[in-house]
Amino acid sequence: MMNIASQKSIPIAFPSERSVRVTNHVGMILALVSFTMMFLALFYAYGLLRIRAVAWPPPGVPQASLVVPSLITVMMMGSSVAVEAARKQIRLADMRRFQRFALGSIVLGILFIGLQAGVWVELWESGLTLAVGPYASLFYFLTAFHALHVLAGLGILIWMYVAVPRASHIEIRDSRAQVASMFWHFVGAVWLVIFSLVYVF
Amino acid sequence: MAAPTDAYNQLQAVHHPPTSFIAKYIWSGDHKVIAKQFLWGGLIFLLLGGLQAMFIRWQWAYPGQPVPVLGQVFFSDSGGVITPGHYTSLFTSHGLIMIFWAITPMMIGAFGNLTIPLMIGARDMAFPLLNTLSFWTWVLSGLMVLGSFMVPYGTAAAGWTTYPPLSGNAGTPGWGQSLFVLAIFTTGTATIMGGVNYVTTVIRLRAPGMTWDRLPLTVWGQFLTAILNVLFVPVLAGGGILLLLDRWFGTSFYVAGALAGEGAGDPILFQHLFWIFGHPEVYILILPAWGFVGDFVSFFSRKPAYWYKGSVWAMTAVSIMSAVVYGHHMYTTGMAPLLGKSFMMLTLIISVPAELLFLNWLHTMYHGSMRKTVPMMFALGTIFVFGSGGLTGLPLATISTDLYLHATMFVVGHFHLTMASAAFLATFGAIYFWFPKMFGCLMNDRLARWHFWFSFIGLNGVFIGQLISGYAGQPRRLYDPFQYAFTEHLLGINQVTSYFAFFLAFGQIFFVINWFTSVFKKNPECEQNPWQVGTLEWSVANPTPVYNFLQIPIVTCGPHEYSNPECIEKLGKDWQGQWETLDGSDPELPEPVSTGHHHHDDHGAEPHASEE
Repeated sequence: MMNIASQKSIPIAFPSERSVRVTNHVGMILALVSFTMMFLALFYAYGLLRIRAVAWPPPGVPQASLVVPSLITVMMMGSSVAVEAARKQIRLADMRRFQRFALGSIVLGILFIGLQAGVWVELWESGLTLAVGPYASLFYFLTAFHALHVLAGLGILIWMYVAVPRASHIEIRDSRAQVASMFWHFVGAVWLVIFSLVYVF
Repeated sequence: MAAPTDAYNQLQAVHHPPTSFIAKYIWSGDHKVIAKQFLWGGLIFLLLGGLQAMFIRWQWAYPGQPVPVLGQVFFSDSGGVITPGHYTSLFTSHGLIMIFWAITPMMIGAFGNLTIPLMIGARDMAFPLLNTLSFWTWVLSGLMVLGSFMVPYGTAAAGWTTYPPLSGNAGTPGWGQSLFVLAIFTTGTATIMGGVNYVTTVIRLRAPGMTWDRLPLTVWGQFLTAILNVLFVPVLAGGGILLLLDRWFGTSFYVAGALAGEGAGDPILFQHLFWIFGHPEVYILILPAWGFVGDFVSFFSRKPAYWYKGSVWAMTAVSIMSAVVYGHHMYTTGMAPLLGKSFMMLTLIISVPAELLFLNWLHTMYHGSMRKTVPMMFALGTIFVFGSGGLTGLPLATISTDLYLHATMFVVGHFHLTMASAAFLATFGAIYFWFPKMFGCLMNDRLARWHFWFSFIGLNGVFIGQLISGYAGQPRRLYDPFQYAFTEHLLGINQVTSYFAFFLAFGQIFFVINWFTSVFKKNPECEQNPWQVGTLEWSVANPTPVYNFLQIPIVTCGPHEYSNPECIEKLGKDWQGQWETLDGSDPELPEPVSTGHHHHDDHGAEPHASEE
């Protein structure tokens, strides 16, 4: 039924840029659904261990001050805003300003990791070690596991910084920036939950 | 020949045929090549897992006696005898290998990859590179599994469920258990990559006219399985990470009692995370089989699938409900009685859509012109073992009977009938059915029938034997069950069960011969549509060309158009291809084109609003 051409005469059809963009968008949504389920499982673990604990936090363990965690939360949100500002430049075809905003978001992300590491060192040295039990385990694990995703997100942002201007078609540029920004916003949203769980409540 | 111009043809690329060996066989993005790679990999692990099953059966028939011949190879350190240490590793890695490295790659990796693009009329998966990465990530995880056998203290030995504290450092010290958990995490990553790809492909790349109610049931099964994989494998990944941290870094998520320091974690937490994944997982392993069976039963009864939409809704309902029944694995953990009752009710309710599917299959066959082809025999076998496995699930779902049957061989027999036997038979049915699409010829029919009868009788004998001994009170996982007074009389039934297992293993020789002669010595090429069925993959040559469909087909009807009198009259055959019209005209492109395609000339800076 379908005619099978000899290999020489196969016409090479390329997908339209717009269809590529929509397909990438669907794929990224699914990937983020999957990541969400993993974090939900970890939050479930947090909830179950916290409910079972006699006291939370255990009496006498050192507490982080809210100053630095609040600051890096603002940075994370600011970084997401910068990514959106960068995306807007794609529509305006201004790649210089795109890269400037993208760089801003990357720098904020790096600062986030650095300051978070400072919090770890400070708390560890003041006695919040793993011997404290699930409280400390959850604190270090949730924040460090999130930090790993921030690192992955930074990798994706750096890719976006390089790869978006290289694409010649606006749909492909926008698609690349879109999937990168989706992951970055996701990492930011997860941070809001973790920030509330481990620092605020 | 001009490049295709309509929107559907511009949805996907037409691949160049690969030119180098590596591009063709190793690092290929072609879904058909990846399907074959998964099939080969899965078959190798199936052989390994099957061999382990035979050792376990040997131990239960002749406890403490040296394994003939093979014992000198695998248990040379103990003179061919399976020691208790060997034994715990055997039943642990048998379960994990069969689930994650045999059934999953064969049923989902191979046949998801092969059938989805071909049956929906696509040229490849939505993300070919992700597909390649998925396969090689799986290979990496397989290497970790093999590596775990070679480290001090041996491989995983905490049972396939990997419950702490047994799976913690105190219960299973050494790298073997850690490597295995890491391997599960890694293969889970591969599964999620595949799942994202499958779901995106079905959503985005269906050919024009391939509406949701014209999808073959095979695609429905794979689609729902992929959704469950995307949703629930990450939960297992999360549980696994916490276990590895407990093992490696001294965290205390699962550590309680004397092992804990100042604060205690909770080993039951792992069971929750494991079964939130684990119960969807058993449907992950059966949904593709339901899809194959639903299609095969219609194809070879030469009748439309009875109440197709009912079957689709039933499969969807099972997929949704699979998320809320996991507690029935944990009745004996001290769960609140009200919660236990809720899980019991939900578990009993989930059997309703499964029964609906079953009745639809029977209705499809009823008054059909049945063709007892090899795939049909395997489909019938699947229906039988799934039915008996499903019925034996009811006393396990019911708390009052489960308290007696919990952790007995009855449980082992039950879940082997559903997710092992049904998956096994359905997957081999799929191999025989789609073999021409992969290798260009049919497999030998006579050998295939021998393979079927040995497998069918063997599987039933083994697992019905386990049901009986479990009902008589034999606990699962015991090294030598017959040293206890209350089970010593069960040696006889265990020996008979083991003979069925050896019979089953012997029957696989027919497949091995058939496989190698068919793949390498090439039987005479079969015609393009040997089964005379109407799904899209049979509209192209065998083996399938690299680009699948040069022109994206236009779908005119559902997947099960058989014995339609009008079709017989006009086309002179009892089946209508999904690419055919009854009056012989060219199918017309349905309107409107849903992809919102823009023309190429909108390059440049002009901003335009997103339409999706």
